Amino acid sequence: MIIFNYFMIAVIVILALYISLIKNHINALLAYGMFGAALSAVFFILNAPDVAIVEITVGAAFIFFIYLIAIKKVGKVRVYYVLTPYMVEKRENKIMGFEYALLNHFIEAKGLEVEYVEVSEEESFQKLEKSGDILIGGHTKINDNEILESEEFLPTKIFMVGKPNKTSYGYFEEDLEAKYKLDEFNDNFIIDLIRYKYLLYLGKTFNNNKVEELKTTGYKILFNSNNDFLKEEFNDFIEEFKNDKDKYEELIRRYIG
Amino acid sequence: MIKTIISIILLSSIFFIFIFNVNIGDATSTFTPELIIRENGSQNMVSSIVLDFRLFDTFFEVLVFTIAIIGVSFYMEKLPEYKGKDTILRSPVIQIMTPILFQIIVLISLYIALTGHIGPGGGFAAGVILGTGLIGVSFVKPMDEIENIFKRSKIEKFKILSPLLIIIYGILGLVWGDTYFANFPLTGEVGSLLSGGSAVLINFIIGFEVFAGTWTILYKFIKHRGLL
Amino acid sequence: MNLYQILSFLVFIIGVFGVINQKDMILKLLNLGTIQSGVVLLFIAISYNGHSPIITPGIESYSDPLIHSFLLTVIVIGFANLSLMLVFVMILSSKIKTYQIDEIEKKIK
Repeated sequence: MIIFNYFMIAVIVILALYISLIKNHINALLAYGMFGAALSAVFFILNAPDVAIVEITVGAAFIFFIYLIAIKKVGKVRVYYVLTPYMVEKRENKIMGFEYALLNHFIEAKGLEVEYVEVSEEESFQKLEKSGDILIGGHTKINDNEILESEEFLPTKIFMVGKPNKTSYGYFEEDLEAKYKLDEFNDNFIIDLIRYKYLLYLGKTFNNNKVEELKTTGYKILFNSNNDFLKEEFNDFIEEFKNDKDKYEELIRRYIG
Repeated sequence: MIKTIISIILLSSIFFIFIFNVNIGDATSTFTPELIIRENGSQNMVSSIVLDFRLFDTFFEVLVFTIAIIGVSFYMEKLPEYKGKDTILRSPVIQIMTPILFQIIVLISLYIALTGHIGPGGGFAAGVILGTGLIGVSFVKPMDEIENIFKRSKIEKFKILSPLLIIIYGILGLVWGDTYFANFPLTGEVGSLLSGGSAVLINFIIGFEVFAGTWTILYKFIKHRGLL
Repeated sequence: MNLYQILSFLVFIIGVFGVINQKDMILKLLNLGTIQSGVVLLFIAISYNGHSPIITPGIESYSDPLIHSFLLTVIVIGFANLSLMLVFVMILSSKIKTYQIDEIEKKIK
């Protein structure tokens, strides 16, 4: 036996051991491709040319490609959410709401894996930039240049009550302070439609201040500054979804009313 | 951890018992070269056994392969279709060279199928080579064109007919022989193209069958799961 | 025994150990392919007797062509079966979003 035979035997044993011990998908798949090619060389040495041709075509080219399509995982997405009435709510440990349902439609259509983490209003932007991908919670206007915004998925109006000296979460102006507890909002503030509806549902009345509309804008979803392509895909998805009138209006009717 | 240790101990003891106690004798076959030259006339002994002396086993192999492909094609419909963006490679070198290389691959596979009774190769090798060569084409063409070609050539209806063609050939063996599955009486010289009986015809039937099967697997996987 | 026959037994045993040890469905299928390759190697090592089975003038002893004809069909049917198994793995893992066997068993209970 010449040196080449011993070398091939050692290569085959080492590759077979590697396939049975490694937990990573792609490493084991590459080792299987090499194993098939080395086995085909051994078949050729042992004087079987027909079997060698079929083995190297099937075992090292076709099976590799089929497995590569089957183990494809598109990626994991971490979503931070801020509790907002009608949009993202939590009842009995289950999350529901309009924005949550819309995001779930998008993620199922793409085949991503998702993980939801609750975050408070003060640290939402920091956490998004550091370790998150998507932030939901009823944002309309932010004054941060690094965070990407999507297109508007739900039109809304901004109300101004009295002479404003604070705003609610979601609408950030530069010289007005933002307060987060909706119980403190009795007069002189700027608020968006969903939270205004929630205040009316709580039973507050503003009979000594007048309520006027400021402008019409829409709700957006915020993305991390690295996820450029995810924002583009979400914009395409929103356009398609808005054209489908039945599903869109049914979703609005179910969660907002 | 305990499961690993117990399995290692049991498997290594099985291995050592096998090595020291199993006697494997030599295999001398009953198909000597003189018999094959006298009755069949092809130069590749494996091809004469697959296509003439043991044609019944080959027929059942083609049948099992067809059933497996029908199973793949049926169960893949349970997954939803892939609605992502089309990922096509945009480098100009690959987009120009790959269709040229594909034509060379078609020529190679036809050559291997045609001379299966003279050198190594045969129907199976030709089918899988052509089916694997389609992987490169699927990188550079968008999904709609490939789907158009697949549906327009009606290959899903024609690939089921090949076990039937082998059965018809077997029944026609009564005409030119004296039993079912008998060969053509075309025993030419050893090494020429017109030897070996009907080896060329059955090689092409098997090659077409295996090629259609691998193309169906590839097409269904890409359609319902996406490409890379 | 021949050295290649011992190698084929070794590859077979390592494949069986891989199927028992791994917890991921895709890696179990890869080790199943290793088992099949070990079986094919055993038969080729048995039939090794001389020249390759193509008739050339002047050679007396050839390898056994009957075994080669079985092995061609074994490899081709093997990869058709493997793609069918992959279809079922993909359907199962698209409902329960994981590939590990332990979590699937917990969810089924």
